[in-house]
Amino acid sequence: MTGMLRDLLNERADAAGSHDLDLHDLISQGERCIRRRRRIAVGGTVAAVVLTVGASFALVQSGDPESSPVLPPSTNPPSSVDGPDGSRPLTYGLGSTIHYGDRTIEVAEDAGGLYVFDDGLAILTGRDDADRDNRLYLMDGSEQVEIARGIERVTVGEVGTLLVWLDGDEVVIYDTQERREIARVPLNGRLLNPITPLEDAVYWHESTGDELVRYDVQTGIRAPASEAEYRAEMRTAVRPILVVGTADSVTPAEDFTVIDSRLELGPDAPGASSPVFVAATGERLRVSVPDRYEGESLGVFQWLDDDRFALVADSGVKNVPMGDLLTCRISTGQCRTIATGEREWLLPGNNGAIH
Amino acid sequence: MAQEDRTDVAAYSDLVTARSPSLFRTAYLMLGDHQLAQDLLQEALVKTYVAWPRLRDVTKAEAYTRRTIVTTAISWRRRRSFHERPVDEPPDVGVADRVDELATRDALWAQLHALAPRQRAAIVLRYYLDLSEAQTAETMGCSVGAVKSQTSAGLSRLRDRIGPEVALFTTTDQRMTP
Repeated sequence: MTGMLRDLLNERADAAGSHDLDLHDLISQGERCIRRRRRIAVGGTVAAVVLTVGASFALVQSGDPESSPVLPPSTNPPSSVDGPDGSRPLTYGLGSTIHYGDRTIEVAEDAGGLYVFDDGLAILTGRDDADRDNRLYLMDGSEQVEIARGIERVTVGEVGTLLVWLDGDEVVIYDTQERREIARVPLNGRLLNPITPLEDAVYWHESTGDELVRYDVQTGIRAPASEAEYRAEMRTAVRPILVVGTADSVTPAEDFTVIDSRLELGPDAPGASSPVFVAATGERLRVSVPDRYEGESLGVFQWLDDDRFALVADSGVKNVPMGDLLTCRISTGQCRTIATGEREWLLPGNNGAIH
Repeated sequence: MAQEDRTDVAAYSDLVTARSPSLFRTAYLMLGDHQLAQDLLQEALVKTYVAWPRLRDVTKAEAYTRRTIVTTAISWRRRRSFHERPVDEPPDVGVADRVDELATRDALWAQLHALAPRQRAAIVLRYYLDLSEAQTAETMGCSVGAVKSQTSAGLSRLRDRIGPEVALFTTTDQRMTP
């Protein structure tokens, strides 16, 4: 009975049978993960940005009041934001309830997308952003306005004030500060990649000519761009807050595992086992997580400011809901749970935004 | 950018098509359950898809996926205790010459899956995939010393549970065991 262990492993592996995987399903799930974890970075210094959330959300609709999907805010909003204003508020949804900082917004139908910008929030209703009956509402703390419907590929800028989407065969560029559409740019072909809004420019990729396009918001000039130009402008505009490997790295750290009650780079994250640094200070990240998350995978779903970020416990497994939500503060090295349970959280993100 | 994306998707598809049977077998040995292994493989491949644009060397994607299977399985089992099927009491296998080999193998299989996840992972990687200690450490995301201790502890427990009379290894194998 020699070699029993090795024989057993080979025998059982051979007898494991076949698996049933759908490649398209894998890719679809992967895209969902990317969307869910896409961070809403607050680039540069944001402390001076003061969020002016009013005492209540007045209901101002551009369309028929009867058809408004948004109801008055709850009278018992949770105090789920730790820290002062001056940042993008913690934002997440569950079913028809959207938590936005210390406000609760009830939506008559389930929201399909949340897009947080420096001075407000956009909510997309409908199953997803390809739902032709969807509507996009802009909320800036004092009022909410329907700004589009039947659209797709909604993306908010990680920096700047631009919110963009695809309306038919037009790329629509909306300035959330000026609260108006500033451009509608017809596509020459099919949109191949997500639209990427930066501070003064928007990039997208079209099927015709396999062309990467840069639209300059200031001049209104649309011109072909190279991949190198795109990446260079991205690097200039978006600064990771936590980086992998060295303090001057540009590789963002977003996927973590809790090891010995500390936040460490996830084993399947790029640069796994490498240290994580705080880009602004050059110091090693030292953040403690409650013991009950030992061994859990935690992914960043929102950067609140240079000091705070929000995490979701996410197995990434099909049909397994996400877990608890936490906020962490770099300066104090502490995380705390702000919502519990395995739920179908709706987290802020950019549909299809892959950089 | 689009060209790059299409190339990536094609390469990812190739990985899934060509290597998923082998990856599935590893997942199965890690969990001992067909459906869970399929879920694990699916999860690992989704993670690989997410990480694909950032992988520095796509030719190492299989190793990356395998590593994800192992590390995910370890953390997964910690989270999902309802999937655990511990065998607290060893089956009454007796000494090797009193039971037939099939029964002993069943008992060994049961005990393998009663091991701590890291111990089982180390054993699967070392004795199924024939990885070196250094490769096993890389796959598990731990030190070589940890691999040695996990392997040793796992084998020791198997011997305790199955009985010292049952030879787990051939003579050749024994030279590489802790």
